[in-house]
Amino acid sequence: MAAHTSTVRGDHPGMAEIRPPLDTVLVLVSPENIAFEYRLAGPALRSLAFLIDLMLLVAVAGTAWLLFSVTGTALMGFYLAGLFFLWWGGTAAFEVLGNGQTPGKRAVGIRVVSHDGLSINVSQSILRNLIRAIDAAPPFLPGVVSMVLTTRMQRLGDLAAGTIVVVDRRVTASGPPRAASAPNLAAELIPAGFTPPLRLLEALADYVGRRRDLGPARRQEIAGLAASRLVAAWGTSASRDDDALLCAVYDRATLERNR
Amino acid sequence: MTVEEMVKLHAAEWQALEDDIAWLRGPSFRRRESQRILGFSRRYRAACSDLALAIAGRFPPETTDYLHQLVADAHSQLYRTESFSFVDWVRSLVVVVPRRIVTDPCFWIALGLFWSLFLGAGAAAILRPSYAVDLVGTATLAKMEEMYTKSPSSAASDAQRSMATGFYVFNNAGIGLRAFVGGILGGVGSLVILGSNAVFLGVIFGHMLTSPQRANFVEFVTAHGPFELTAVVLSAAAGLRLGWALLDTRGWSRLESLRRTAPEALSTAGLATVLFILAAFIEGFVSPSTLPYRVKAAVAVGTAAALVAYFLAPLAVFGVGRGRTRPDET
Repeated sequence: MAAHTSTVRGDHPGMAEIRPPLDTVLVLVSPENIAFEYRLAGPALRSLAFLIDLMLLVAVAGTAWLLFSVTGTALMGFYLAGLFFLWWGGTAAFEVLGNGQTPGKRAVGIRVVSHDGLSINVSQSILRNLIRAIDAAPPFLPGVVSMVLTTRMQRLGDLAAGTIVVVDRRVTASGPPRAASAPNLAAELIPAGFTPPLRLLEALADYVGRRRDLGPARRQEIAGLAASRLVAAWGTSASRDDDALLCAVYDRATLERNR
Repeated sequence: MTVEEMVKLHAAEWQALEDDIAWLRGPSFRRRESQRILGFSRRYRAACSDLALAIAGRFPPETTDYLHQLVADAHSQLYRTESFSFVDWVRSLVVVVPRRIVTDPCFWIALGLFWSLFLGAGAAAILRPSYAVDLVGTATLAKMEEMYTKSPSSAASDAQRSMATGFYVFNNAGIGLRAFVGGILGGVGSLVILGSNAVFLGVIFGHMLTSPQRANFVEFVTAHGPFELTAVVLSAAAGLRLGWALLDTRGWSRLESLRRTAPEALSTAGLATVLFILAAFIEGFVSPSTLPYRVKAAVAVGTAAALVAYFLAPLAVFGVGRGRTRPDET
């Protein structure tokens, strides 16, 4: 998935209008008046999680059947009644106890949350898992059709229960982000009163966030692309350390914004 | 303050908030310390303002994404509603749910439809024997007749009885739940399952009442009949409620209407499942037992009376209430 789709190119200073990314991102506003984002999970990830859960269920039911069949008919009644609850309520139990995650969802890194961003409650979980009987009904798979047709990629069970399935980003990023700037050596090269336009600042933020993953030569190469244009625009002599120059521009601009 | 200093300054607090979230996601029966909860809510609000700062200050995407996830996770824990009141639950079970079901046209539609189809098919099968053959085939009828050639009163072991009970739970309650969830297709699924079951059962009843195995058949089906047939009707009524919410939206959007109605319908379906399970126990342990028919008939009368009392007593004692859509009763 592309991170951002820019619609405005060129050097519009300051107030460039940026269209929200054409993406599967859901923005929710909390009572603290802060908008936070959820990334929605699509049919592919969700089907994978479903298949993993299904295989687990078959494995558990199969093992239990072997155990119970050895003991004879006495416990087969318990087995069948247990199978009923496992089949219709097993996933729901996992979702409630696992804070929206079944083993399959945990494996692929997705989570069920309520459409208002809260943890799901018992009734929501039972509803969405009962209605899966319809959602997964061949040949038309109404759940997949519904996911394609709804903006928040909800199957029928999600629509009735008021739930969404989101990507749990913690699978890829763990721990707080690293502080990502460089020592501010090149600040004196920047002309006083220079404020980078917003789009340049965002590009700089991307660069500063990722430069630690790059080797020194690659840093200079990438930073040189922007630094050479900045230096040309300022009419100053070329910097010796383009990487440090970009970090300095970024630090100074954010310093002003953070004040 | 540069971004670097800012991230360094707050990283420990963010990590502490992450730990709080993991702690809150853990087993809920663990005793929760109020001091830690207070610290959590304070850290959450701090993270909110950090996120606002990160967005406005154009922090690197890694930092902003991290804070988005952190705030979202903390938000879902802080505002989760987990309160469970036993008194409310009992009140819901014995007052709110039965009253809502009886005042719900969907229930009466399902009830009327089921019994008219059941009795109609039964009467047709009695009057014209070929009707039953056309509808379910000779093989099914022969199997039914063979099943009831022996008296249902048998001294089967408890093991066999419990196995039969387990099968009835798995099969019958499963049909009930399908009748419920089929309602999300505009009620059509519920109507199809309700109608086909009513006609099938009606034909079997009609046919068996004209067959030589009549006495055995009646002796077997009497005891669990009231619970099982009511459960079928309730399942379909719950499904119809779900489907009707898509048609009559009472001013909400279609999806909002569905979402608001679904918990009500779910409680009806839950009641139906309980009845199916009770019926399975009766069907497994009472119906095929050696108890005299008088006792089995008494069970049928008793369960039917209990159902009538359950549905009508709240209405008689507490009145109709303030309508079906009280928000605190969903």
